[in-house]
Amino acid sequence: MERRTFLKASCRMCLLGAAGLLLPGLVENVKAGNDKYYKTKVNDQNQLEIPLALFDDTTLQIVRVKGWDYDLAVHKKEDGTFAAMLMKCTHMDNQLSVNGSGFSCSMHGSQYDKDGKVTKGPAETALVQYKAVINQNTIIISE
Amino acid sequence: MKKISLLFFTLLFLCNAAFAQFRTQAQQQILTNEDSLHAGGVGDKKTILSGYGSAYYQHNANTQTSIATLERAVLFVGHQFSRKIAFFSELEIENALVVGNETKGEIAMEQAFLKFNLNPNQYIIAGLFIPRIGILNENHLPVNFNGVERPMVETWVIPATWRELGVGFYGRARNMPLNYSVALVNGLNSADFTHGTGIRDGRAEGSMAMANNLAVTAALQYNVRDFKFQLSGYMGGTVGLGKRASDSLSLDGGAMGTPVYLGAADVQYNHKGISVKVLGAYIAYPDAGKVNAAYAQNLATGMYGAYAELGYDLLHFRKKTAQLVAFCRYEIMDLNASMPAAPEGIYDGTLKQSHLIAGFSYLPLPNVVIKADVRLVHTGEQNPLLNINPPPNQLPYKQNNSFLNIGIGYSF
Repeated sequence: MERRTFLKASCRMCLLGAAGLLLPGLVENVKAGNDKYYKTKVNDQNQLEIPLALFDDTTLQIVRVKGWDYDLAVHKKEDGTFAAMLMKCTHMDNQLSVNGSGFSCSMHGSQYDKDGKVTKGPAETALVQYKAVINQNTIIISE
Repeated sequence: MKKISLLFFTLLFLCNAAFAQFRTQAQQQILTNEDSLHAGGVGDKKTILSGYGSAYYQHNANTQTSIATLERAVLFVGHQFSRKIAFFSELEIENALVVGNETKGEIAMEQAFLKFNLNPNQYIIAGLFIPRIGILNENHLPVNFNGVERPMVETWVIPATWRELGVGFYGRARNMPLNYSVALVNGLNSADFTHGTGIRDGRAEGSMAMANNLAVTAALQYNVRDFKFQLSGYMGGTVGLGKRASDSLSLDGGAMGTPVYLGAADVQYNHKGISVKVLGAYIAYPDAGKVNAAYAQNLATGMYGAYAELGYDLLHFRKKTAQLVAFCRYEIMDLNASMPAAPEGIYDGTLKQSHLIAGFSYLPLPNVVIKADVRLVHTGEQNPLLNINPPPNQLPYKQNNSFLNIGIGYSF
């Protein structure tokens, strides 16, 4: 087989494989909506209120708070409690992206797990956390 | 004139975006003191110092020689001017010593740019920065890749760390886990390209870049479950000379004259201690023949490289901070996969290489790494036409070699 033919065939295989891997995830993400933002703002009690129903189909919800420079990631833990973390890299304050197993920073490669703990440097400290408690059908987030 | 107008309106837009938002008192109160940068207002200024570095020992089996060097010591300095505007820099010293006219060491600015936050999803950077091309270029800290040496493909095909001067726009999509970036930077200089190093020597790295020629780079990242897919590309002119000079060399000048194209695709997977990286890159330089005629460099019209790496953290299920990653990586590349027709191009078999690397990375903390590996190299045959006036005592070219590497790295 010529090199050109081999490369072409390999590329096609890679594309097909990637499409096969991407499609189920894409469909799942769209169904679960876990990458769509829930928009809210700080209320008069200096709290954020998030509907508990948002977590019916997902364990992670990104929250866009009006006027904030970083999004908030609210994570439902296995024990049913919630963690609210600021999506700001603790190394140099860059915005974070969600990946399959946590959060990553594109600036220097820092990675965090779903609980905000550092798994790859250069960051050394965990993500900033807020209190998150359930009150009836709402999650209340505060300092 | 058009460029100046474009720059003016871009700056105007940045200033507008930077000061467009303000926060109410109630919104500020919810933020913690620890997070004072985010709170805005009083205490929003801060200067950050951090950095990374690496040192290694390498033994070359063919030459029976060994070297030890402080490969890199890099100092980051960042400053937050306001909630919306920050400065980042990386000052690098390679091989520890820079003195007189010796070529052992190097001092260089690896990055120095301003960052303008537009919103939680998007920002613009301007200055000297490292574009998102491939895996390593953006994530080049020693704690973040396996192997004492950086992957060969991301050193010689994608010339990491590849930084240029320009403006970049970064963001992520609202409704799907898609990150994107696009940047306009100064182009490469074809006069500095050298045989055997791909496009690496054509980089200006922020130092008096010829900016008649420009380049565009862009990348798309898609995260799904534990996979990260990325496509990235670069397209730019390589002749920064004025019209008279470029015409005299029979080269096409201008912003995108005598273009070089680079495309890269990569996939990363991380799950339960298993990590996989696969990357492929191709460079097309259609007018390499013209450049060879002008500068006698023997450049290729096509180059490719690819690698696959599998790693496993042996301590993953012990739920401890430490990581002990055993890994294996196989790389192939050909820096003259296609050549201009003779006499403008002569094939060099030594540039068709495969590398097999296997070893360990031990990280007692996520910020400190101790590495050890072995690299086995195989190349094609040497072309006698390129072995000009060999000395009488020259040893025959060996197509196989091996290296033993031991190193340390840190980042903070």
